[in-house]
Amino acid sequence: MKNRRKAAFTRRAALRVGSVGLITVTVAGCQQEMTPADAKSAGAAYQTLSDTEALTLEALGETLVPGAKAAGIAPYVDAGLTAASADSLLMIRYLDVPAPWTGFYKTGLAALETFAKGQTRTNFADLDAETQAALVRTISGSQPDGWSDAGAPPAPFFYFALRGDAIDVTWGTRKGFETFDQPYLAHIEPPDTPW
Amino acid sequence: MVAAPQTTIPDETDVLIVGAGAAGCVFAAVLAQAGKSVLVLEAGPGWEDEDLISSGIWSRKLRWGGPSTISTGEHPAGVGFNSGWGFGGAALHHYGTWPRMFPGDFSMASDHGKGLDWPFSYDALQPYYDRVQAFVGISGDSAAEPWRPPEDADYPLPPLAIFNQARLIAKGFEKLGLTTAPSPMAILSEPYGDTGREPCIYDGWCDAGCPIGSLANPLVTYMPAAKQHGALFQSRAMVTHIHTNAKGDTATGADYVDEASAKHQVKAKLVILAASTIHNPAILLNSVSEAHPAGLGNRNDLVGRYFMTHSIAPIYGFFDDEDAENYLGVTGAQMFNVSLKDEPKDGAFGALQWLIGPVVKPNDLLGVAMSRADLFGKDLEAFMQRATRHMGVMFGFGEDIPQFDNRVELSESLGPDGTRLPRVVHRFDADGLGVNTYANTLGLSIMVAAGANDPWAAPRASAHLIGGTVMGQAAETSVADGYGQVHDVQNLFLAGPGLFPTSGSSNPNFTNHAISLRAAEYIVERWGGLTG
Ligand SMILES: Cc1cc2nc3c(=O)[nH]c(=O)nc-3n(C[C@H](O)[C@H](O)[C@H](O)COP(=O)(O)OP(=O)(O)OC[C@H]3O[C@@H](n4cnc5c(N)ncnc54)[C@H](O)[C@@H]3O)c2cc1C
Ligand code: SF4
Repeated sequence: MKNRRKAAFTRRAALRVGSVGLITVTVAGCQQEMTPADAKSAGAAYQTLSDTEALTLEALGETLVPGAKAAGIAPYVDAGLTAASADSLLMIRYLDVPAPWTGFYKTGLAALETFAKGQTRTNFADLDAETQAALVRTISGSQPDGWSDAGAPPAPFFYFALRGDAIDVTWGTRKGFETFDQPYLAHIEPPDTPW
Repeated sequence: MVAAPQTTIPDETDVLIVGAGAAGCVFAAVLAQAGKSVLVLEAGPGWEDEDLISSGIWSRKLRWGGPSTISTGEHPAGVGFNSGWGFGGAALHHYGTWPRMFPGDFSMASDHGKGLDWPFSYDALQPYYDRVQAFVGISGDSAAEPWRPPEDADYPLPPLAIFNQARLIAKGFEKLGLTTAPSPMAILSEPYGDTGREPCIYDGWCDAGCPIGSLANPLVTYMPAAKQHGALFQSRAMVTHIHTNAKGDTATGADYVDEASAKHQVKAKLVILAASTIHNPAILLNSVSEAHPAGLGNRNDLVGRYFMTHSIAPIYGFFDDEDAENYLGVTGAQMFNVSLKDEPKDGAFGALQWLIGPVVKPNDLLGVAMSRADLFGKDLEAFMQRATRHMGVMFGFGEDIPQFDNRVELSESLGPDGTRLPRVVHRFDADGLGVNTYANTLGLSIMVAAGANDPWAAPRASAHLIGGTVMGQAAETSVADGYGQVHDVQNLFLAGPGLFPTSGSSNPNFTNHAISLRAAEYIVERWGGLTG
């Protein structure tokens, strides 16, 4: 592996993908390379997502794949959106959505919120797990009434893409493979700090 | 990764090759060896072996990272997943499943009144297949393949190891009277030659690229051969336009933009477009001039036409009493089965190839979790616990019949240097859909016969980007001749599976190499006439 170039120091709390795609997080003036999970618990700020969007994303991620929130779905997606599209590690690269992809995520999360509020008068993140799962079940198969069409991706497609992210961040790592007793068998180990 | 150019990029060269992928590297090797000065301009990064990180997530950086292509139509092709960029192109992270095409693929219009004919027969290509496999090293078992023309040279290496997953599924084929054979793989089962490439260790990371060189990606095959003879490879150089003389019958060079979007020009005696099935037509269509007002070589509105992609029928089942060992092997296939285009398929016409027993990792588009996209939460977790040990999988690759309206065209979105970005429009016709439906039904019965529990078929997917700049006998029906020479421009050649007039059901890269070797040697033989 080539040496990784450290991103420049900045006082502002920042989470970003470095020259080879690492998340470099600056928290309280100290620059560190972290996993999304570490970044999250260290209270790093998001660069592309708002805090509210991140909360919705965490709740959605956790509904899709148990463990996704702790694995760092929100900082992972935030890093993937903040990076140049050629450096992004998000699965959306495969899904033929033209870059940049921030609009896809932001409008999708907004549509989910509108839909949740329309159905329950409550933010998606504040719902109990059973109701969250019921809403996700509804959006997974077809475009439900009340899914905003203001530029948002179709509901099942949004579900598919976000489910892919949740799977990646939770089970696409050495630690994730261990969940299922799957040998990782790397030729070249991904960086200790996966993204 | 090679970041910056080590040498000054020449502004004049004998041969300019656009794209350092599979086809570009074959041309570079042959032409450099023949003593021509060769410059290869590549839009993406200068990947090296050490960039091939074993991770489904990290490998995404190897996919096309330039300006977006739009994929649309009734059945959009999977362009993002099926494209690469940087040294090695898509072939850097391709799976090395290297079946040949079949004699009937070359004469489909004559034999069946459907689609197109190739401008030459299988026999003309056979010696090139044989030579490519001798150079690259293919593992397989010729004797086990009843569909293989007997004149073909035997594979130079014994087959790769077979693990439980493939063995279990193969029993289903056998029970239904269908043959399976070890899949022909451009992956070394044993040490081969003096290249330093190591035999496969069956970890299944091929999709992220094979850094030990078992899998024949261009970085370990034709690119070193090209460099050894002086070919120059320049990363982060995206070609935007090809220029011709005023009359329009001779290419004079190209424009390209570097990483900083600065524009450059290079003059060349001969130009080879090897920039993929998507970007070859895009470059031609963007190269508008007085002599070529509709785009270079597009006098007959054929550039971009007859785009094809294989349909995929993904079939799964559980072998609950066994460790399916689905984490061991290669990403491509362990075994395969072929049904030629004229074999009956419930009324549908077209070839079908089964690729049996690919390695499945927990995540990623072809991974375990994506095989049941309807599941989430606790249900998904329970599924994963069962599937990661017990799931068997095979993919049915169906032929796509060439259709005039399936095309690569230019969208309204703007790219570098005022170019318009490509848009791909695709729909399967009744035969294409029929072969896919037939594959689903047959695949499920094979799984049942194999004793698999709860078999299922996932939604249709697509693989491989083919056609769009088809070759043929006449300018009225094709963009290029049988060597990829653009009909109206004597020193402009096209390369890659974009030239294929039919798709068959075989993975395209072996045929891509064979036609590239044939055309490159033709150029060497005719150099004076082509560039005079
Ligand atoms: C995941 C995957 C698995 C595959 N598995 C198999 C398999 O098992 N067997 C098989 O036979 N085939 C397989 N393929 C297909 C195979 O890789 C391709 O058919 C083959 O690489 C095509 O060769 P090419 O030279 O035409 O294009 P590429 O190998 O893609 O090379 C084209 C190059 O041109 C560059 N380029 C594009 N535009 C420009 C420009 N404007 N200027 C400069 N450079 C440019 C690109 O960046 C790229 O590097 C697979 C492909 C993928 C993506
Ligand atoms: S399975 Fe074999 S060919 Fe594939 S990456 Fe591993 S060693 Fe290379």
